[in-house]
Amino acid sequence: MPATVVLIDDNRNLLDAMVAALEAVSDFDLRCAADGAEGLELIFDIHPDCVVADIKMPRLDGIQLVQALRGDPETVNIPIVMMTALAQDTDRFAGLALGADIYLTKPVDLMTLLAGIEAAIARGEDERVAQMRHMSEIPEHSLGKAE
Amino acid sequence: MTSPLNAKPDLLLPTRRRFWIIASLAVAAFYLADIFTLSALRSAAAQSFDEIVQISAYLIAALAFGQAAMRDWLRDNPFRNAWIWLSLAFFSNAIAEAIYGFLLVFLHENNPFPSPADFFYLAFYPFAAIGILSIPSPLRTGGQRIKILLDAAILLGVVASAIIVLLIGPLALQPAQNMLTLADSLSYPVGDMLLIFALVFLFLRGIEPRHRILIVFLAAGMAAVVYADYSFTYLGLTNSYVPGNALVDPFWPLSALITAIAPLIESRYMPRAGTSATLAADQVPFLEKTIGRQVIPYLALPALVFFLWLSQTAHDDKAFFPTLEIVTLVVIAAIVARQIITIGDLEETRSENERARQLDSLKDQFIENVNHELRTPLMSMQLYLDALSSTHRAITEERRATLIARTQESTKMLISLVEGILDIRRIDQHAPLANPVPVPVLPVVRDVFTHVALPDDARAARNITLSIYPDLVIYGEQVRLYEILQNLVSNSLKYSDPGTPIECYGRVLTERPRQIPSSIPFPAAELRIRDYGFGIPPDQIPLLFRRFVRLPRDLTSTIVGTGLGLYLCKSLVESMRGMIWVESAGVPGEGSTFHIILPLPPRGGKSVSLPKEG
Repeated sequence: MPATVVLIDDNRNLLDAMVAALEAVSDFDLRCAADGAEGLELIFDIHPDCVVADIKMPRLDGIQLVQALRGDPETVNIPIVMMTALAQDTDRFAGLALGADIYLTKPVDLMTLLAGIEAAIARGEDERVAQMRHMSEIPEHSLGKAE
Repeated sequence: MTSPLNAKPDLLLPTRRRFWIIASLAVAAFYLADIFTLSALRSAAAQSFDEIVQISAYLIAALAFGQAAMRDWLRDNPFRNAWIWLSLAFFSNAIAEAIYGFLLVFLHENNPFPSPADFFYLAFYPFAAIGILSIPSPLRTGGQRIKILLDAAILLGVVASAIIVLLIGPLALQPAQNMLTLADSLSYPVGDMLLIFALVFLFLRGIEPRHRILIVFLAAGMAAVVYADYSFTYLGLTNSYVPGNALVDPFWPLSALITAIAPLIESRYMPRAGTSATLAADQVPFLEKTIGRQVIPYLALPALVFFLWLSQTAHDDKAFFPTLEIVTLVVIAAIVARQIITIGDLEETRSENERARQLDSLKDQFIENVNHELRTPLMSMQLYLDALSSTHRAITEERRATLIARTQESTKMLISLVEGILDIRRIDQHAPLANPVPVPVLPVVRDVFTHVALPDDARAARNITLSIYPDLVIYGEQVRLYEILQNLVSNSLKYSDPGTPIECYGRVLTERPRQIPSSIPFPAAELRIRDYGFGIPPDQIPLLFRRFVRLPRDLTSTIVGTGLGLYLCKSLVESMRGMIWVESAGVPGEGSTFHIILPLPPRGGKSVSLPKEG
């Protein structure tokens, strides 16, 4: 089953471009939202495997979106790729500190976008595994042996 | 790149050098001949020769300046006035010398003092001073001119103190003279002071660098006059002057000859008629930007104290009591006034710097915004191209065509954004309008409706109503009003269906509506542009006038825009001390109304009759 990816950007044209480009090279199930609020609704609705979000958006911006997702146990583990045109380091750190997994600076080419999404999904899986380990309190070395 | 003006002196260099050599040799020979006859012969013949030498020197100078005046009159060169006055000065000197020589040689009046010659001798000083002051100088602001005048007054005060203590005081204290003789003998040092003042003023005021050689010759010539006059007076005081003094007399004709070189040399540098003499920023005149210009005036104070002390010790007499004290007080007042002006200048510079800093931070913010806005369409373009070039899966011909069309759309968006940025760059120049003028509104509106560039179908079959009070005049700038209206009208055409009407109203508002702050003067002009288009959702209105803002509806539509037009309008309206806002219910078909309030011309200007919606 292909991974579900939610793309959130307030620029219609860019959303179209991302969909067209990702469709050409991947099998992701792509869903779009035009702003943070709409995106949040969609995410709670379908629990995607990855979220790609812009930072500057009307209604709910990218930072607020990350805060909302990380603050809810239901969505705390959804991998997030942040994408913005703000190239300043402070913005980058803010995005990562809040819990985004990958941070990309626009303009992002297709290969970087694809790699970013895949890396975020992989990292999310790692985290989920780690969390499961933690929850079942299986000692790490024994799990390692089992593998 | 060298301008023809700069190239000209280089071409003439060989001629100029030859001229210089001949001129200086002639002056030297003249001087040596005069000094030799005066000191070696000491006879009536030598005296006559000296007189002839002097008269001819003055005549040569008068003719040189006269010829230069005529030449520059024909060329309409601003130097001509200076040449006329200097020519008059030397001509009157020649007449004076002729009278003096006639009295001395034929009537054997050795000390004809005061004589008719003095009248012409004395005329020399004001003529020469006016001539020097008429030399055109770089244009300056009022404040700078006052400062230069004060500087000149301070320097002259010091010179005057010295002359009062050393010459005028002793002259006045000489026993047994009638008032006429006293006035006559005092008038020469005073005349020389006039010359010194003119030179100091010229020096401080500055002159175009390529004319500086002129100052050198004028200053050298005038210094020779001043030297000869003061030596003559000083020797006269000690009764040791004998006509034919070899160290004094030759300097009078010498001064004329040196000064006369100035217009001859200068003729080779003359700018052509119509070029104004303005100073390049890096060619500031003497001491203008140095700390010296700030400190030197204060050096006048110890000098004045020294002369006051000298007058007390040298002449116990109180005959000249208030003169020196008055000079001192005037100089102190000038120094204080100068300092006040300097402080004012500093504050102005500081607030200018502050303004520049604010502009700078606005620019930084702008660059960041632009950076942000440019990346989005760029990324779209890149992704479409990536999709097109990907070999991961086959693309149908139809799909390929769609992707190419979208790439082109993004490119178009990028282009219009870049064009908008050029518009925004112009906003930075929209500082508050410094010189508003009355602008009739109706012709501008008509112009806008005729010239708004749009595909014909958008304007086709529009019912356009212009309901503007015919005498309505605003106080601002025509270009700015045009740009505002052009943006608003083109928006109305863009964001409404073809065939819907567009209305433009203009009237005088006497009562202040609720939403207009009291900072906007009333009565004021009100312009309204109404369309019956898509309208603006009320919750999005507050964003509308910000830069790069576009409505979500428009982002998904095919209407091309950058989100800069209304921002530009707002900036332009505010630069004319006006206000702009929009009313819309956000219901398609009901459209929106843009309101502009602009000031009326002040009363007493062009009359505007009140009020009538017409």
